[in-house]
Amino acid sequence: MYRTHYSNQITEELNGQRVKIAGWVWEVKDLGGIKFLWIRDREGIVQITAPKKKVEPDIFKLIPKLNAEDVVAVEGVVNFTPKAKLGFEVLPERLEVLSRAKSPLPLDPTGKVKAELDTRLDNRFMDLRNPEVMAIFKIRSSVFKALRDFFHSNDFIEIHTPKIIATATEGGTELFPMKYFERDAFLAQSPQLYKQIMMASGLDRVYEIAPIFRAEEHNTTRHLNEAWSVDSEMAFIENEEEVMGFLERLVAHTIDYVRENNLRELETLNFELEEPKLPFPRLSYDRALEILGDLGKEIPWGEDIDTEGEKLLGRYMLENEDAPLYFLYRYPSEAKPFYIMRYDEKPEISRAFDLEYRGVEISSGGQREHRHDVLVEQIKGKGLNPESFEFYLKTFQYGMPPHGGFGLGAERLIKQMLNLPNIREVVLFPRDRKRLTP
Amino acid sequence: MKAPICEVCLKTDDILCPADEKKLQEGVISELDVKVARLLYKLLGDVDIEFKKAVEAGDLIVIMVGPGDVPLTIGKGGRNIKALMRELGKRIRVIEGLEVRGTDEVKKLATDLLYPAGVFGVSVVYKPGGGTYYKVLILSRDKKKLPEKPSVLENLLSQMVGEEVKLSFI
Repeated sequence: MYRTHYSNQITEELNGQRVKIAGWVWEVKDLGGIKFLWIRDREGIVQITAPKKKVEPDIFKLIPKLNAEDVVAVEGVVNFTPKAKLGFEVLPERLEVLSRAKSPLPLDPTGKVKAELDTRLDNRFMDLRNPEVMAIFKIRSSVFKALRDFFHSNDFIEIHTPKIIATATEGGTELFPMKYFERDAFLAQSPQLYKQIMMASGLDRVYEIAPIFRAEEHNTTRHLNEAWSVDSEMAFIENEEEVMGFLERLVAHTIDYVRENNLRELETLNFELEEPKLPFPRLSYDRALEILGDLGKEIPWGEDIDTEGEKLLGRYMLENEDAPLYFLYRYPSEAKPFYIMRYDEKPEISRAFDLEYRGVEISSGGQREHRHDVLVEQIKGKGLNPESFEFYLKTFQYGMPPHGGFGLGAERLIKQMLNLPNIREVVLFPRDRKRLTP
Repeated sequence: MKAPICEVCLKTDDILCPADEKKLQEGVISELDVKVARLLYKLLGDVDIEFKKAVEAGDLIVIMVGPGDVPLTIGKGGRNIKALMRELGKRIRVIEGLEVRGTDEVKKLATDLLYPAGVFGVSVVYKPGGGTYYKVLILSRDKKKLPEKPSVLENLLSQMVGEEVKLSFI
């Protein structure tokens, strides 16, 4: 192997020992009798110091000939010294150029020369060499680990539902049509109906982390045509509060995990991630409308709270309640899908909720209607034909426990957690209306 | 002037020729098309414009004309529109008609019809039982700028597009 240690693994215990470092040339400095080479690897930067009197002449001559982003491997001795910028340096005994980088580069990976997002996404491999960009994806990796760990430690079972589906679900959606042999099919926009079907199987507590596809033809900073959804469903609940309670603990755990395990990345991003405070405030739909009314935004009862309203509420909750995360719940039934349970004594109100993070919806969920006859009526009430949902409705006739769940947008969670301006920042290769490659 | 009825029928106020009568009976053209075509001919004479069709809902009539024909149809200072409004008793909107092949054309038609409200996007929505409709997205803050009630505009757009169109506010 060309590498024995990543840059962050070089500690004082290694002082005087031989190590192998490999990575990309970050910077070269030629001071005549002494040459410096900074090598960037996934975890940081290493300084290679080459004084003329202490290194082989070949190495001494090679260093100034290196270009930014050449791939190099160095074997040398660690020297901890306060003179070095990073507190240590490596005195090279061997230097090998493994791959040369063409010049000019498609973009500047140091980030000093700013590039448009489109240019960065066109050259994502190079963009990721910028430590700030890479930090986002290390945090993304931690987020997925934290989510999975929490589900498993709470007795959830991971499931995988089909991504090729026959008909539109959930009452009509923007779908990507495709050919499935001689039949028409679509890419799934949600595992909603399938994860509910699992509640009739006895698996009881399930989750799925998988891509979803939505053919929305508009571009915004918070929509993607391919996104990763964290979906969960749990049986034998008594009310939607139990789902909200689990979701807030899941999200808080994930944020805490990032705070504890991604200190360097947060520092690289120069971002202070707030400690989540449990429980998250619960804001009823009616109360949200009152607050918005006071802020000068009137929304007629029954209508969904629009993007502008969400932003206003987000600012209000942060300024007045010090709450970046909060629930909106008790939504009007007409604003929510057919499968959401309604309050028996007040059917115009549903047992649905949204989880908001800095004024953006990151999750929605609720208690589902598990009573077959009521569900059929709700499907009809939305102007839909129950026959279109036969495979789903069948499972409600042979023992379906009360249940509820949520869908959590992974990219939205990460974007809002890091307060980034565009959701494309948290996806390696975003798919939007105009972007299909790389 | 090119119209959905022949030149002879344009010039008269009486019954239609057998060919145009057949089109009317078969629903290829409507009574409103005939009425608007004749009125336009009276107002404009035999000018080089194409009148494609007219649709109505609520208090609004939309007249669809050929590419680049909107200014001539409207006339100086909206002279022709005012005359049409007097005759038809409804508000008039003249827009360029398009053959709808997909969301791009629906977006253009919706942009013209819904002005000054802006169109944020148009998507195809697949219904659970099969079939599709177009979803025209409008920013909620533009709701007050719509020239008519959303239900009326949905009706007009559906007629213009020839398929179901729904407005959605975000």
